[in-house]
Amino acid sequence: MLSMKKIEMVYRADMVETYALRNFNLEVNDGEFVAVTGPSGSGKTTFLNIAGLLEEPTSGSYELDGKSAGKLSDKERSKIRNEKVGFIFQSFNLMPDLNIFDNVDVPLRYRGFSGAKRKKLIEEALEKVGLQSRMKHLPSQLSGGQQQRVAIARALAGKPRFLLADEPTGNLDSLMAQQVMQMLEEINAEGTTIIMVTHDPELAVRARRNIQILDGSVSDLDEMMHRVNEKVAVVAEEA
Amino acid sequence: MFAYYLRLAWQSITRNYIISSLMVLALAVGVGSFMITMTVYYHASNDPIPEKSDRLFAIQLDAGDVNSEYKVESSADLVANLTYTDAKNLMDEDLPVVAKTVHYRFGTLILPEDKDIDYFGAEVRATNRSFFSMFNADFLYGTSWSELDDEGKNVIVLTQEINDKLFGGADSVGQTLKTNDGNFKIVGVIKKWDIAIPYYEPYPHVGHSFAEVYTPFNTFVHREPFRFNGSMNCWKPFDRGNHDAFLQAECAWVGFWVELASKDDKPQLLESLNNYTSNQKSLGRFERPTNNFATDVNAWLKQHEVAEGPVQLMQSMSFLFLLVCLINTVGLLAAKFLGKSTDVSVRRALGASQSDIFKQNLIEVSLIGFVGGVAGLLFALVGLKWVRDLFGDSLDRMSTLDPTLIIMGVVVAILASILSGIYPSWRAASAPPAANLKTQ
Repeated sequence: MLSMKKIEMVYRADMVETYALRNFNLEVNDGEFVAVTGPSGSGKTTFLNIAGLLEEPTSGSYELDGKSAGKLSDKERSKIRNEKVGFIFQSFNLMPDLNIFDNVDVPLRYRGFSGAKRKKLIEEALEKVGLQSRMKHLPSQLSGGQQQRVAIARALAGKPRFLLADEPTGNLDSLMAQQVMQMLEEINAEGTTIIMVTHDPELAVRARRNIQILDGSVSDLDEMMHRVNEKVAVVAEEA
Repeated sequence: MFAYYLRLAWQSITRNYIISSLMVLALAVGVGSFMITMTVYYHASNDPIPEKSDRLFAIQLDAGDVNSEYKVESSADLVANLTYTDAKNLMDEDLPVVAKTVHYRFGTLILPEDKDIDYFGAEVRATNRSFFSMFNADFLYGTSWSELDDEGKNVIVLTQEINDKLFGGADSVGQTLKTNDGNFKIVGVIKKWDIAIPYYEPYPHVGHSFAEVYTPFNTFVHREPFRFNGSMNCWKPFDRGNHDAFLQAECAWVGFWVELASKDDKPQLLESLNNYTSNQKSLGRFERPTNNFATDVNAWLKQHEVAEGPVQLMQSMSFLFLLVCLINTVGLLAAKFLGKSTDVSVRRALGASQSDIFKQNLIEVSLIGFVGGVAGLLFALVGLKWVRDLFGDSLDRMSTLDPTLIIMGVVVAILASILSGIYPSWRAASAPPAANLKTQ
């Protein structure tokens, strides 16, 4: 589904070069739910931006859904983003002037669907997040949790294969965070691949796979734990 | 997508209504002032009589002083009118034309019968009956005076404006008009004439007054004291106390126009004029080299730089002012789009390409341009009314917006706003899509 090899991301400002990602390698399979953790400034968001084709890496290769994402035009990248990727942001990023229906409509508009098809998809997505009765509300008339559910509906409306969530529960209280997390689990269970950046270890462990980014490189926690467990077993056997 | 972009544009405009209003105001003031001068320029440079402008010719003859050192290289180097002698002779001459007219103007006092209306001054054009048909003056009531009247009868033709003022717009043909030059029988009323300046004048210019009444040339030309408004050029001495001597003098003051059946008849016309001046040379006149000119309407206006000089200067200045307004609009648009950077980033993340964002922004600036254009036209209407109030009737027709000008105003505003919106729109569209997703 997603394959990053030797990805480097360098930000240059005047004479200073800052490595956001360095020798970054990651494989994510279809249907996985991957939680990405790491301290602030470790490169989590940069990874997510590259994964979602919002940024181009300085070097390295990136394949999404079996196709190289390098050297694509802006139009091609936008098309892939629109059709295959759904984004969920920490601060929801809903358009304040548009009602809920129109917010969910945004990615579908760029897809070129007919009005009837868009309406059907929007209603389906809002029903999934339990907000079909709030279609005419403005975002400011909803709670934080409801706004994030709208953002999830917006990300899902175009039926993407790949959901990228950047701290989706970061602005929510624990109860709402649990609800959103449960929703993401359900979505993943239906087959959508999810990569979620989070600071919350409780939520991270609920993902099927955990990776940690440290100083721009990946540490696969599950693999590490697997190795540790193997060593513990060997030591126990020897004893 | 166009309707969608239009809806988003309207939402964006109303969301930031203060900044949007400032942009509309900047465009309205710029476009409005540009339209005011454009209107004057448009009317000044417009062909006033397109149906026959290439067949109407002003006549100039070089009857000047042989001792003068002026050189004649074009018709612009000659006085624009003829001596009475030449005007009278050419009226009698068998020229290859379908019509010819002489004219000059002076002032009189109109003395209304209605005691509620104060007496007032009016410009009189002394001419002959063919003047009206040659310059396509349509009659509202009555008609031109007769050939017999042309010999010097006290008949008069009014303009619609004077007729409205004196007779409340009623048919006044057959009634008498009292002036301080005597009583005149009204024979016709011409409709409001759809021309911006009296182009047939010897020296037409923007703001030139229109005649308000018309009388036969011969009715006043022999009257004493002789009265005349306009430019008179004399180059030989004469007995100034003797009116007949004045009429025979080498003084140019009579406008002379001919109408040809076809513009191709111009060479024959010039040949006839040359024959005439040759004959006059044998009488001791026209001592200078032969320099006779027949100039059609548009060349006549160009020769007198009607749409140049102050009109062009005003036009250039208002264009510069429009540029200043556009530069302000660019700044305001840049600020507006900067404020929408999160919106742009989110749309980019959700699948909008740079060109999608660019188009959306450009439609928004076009909508602002349209509103600015309409507001600019209202501004221009107010400004033109102010111009009319300031300069009076002489600029009445120069300051009228017609459909062409209205369309032009809106198009100028939309083009100007698109022009000013290209850079800010491109800047907003080309911002990195991930730049503003972390904050809101």
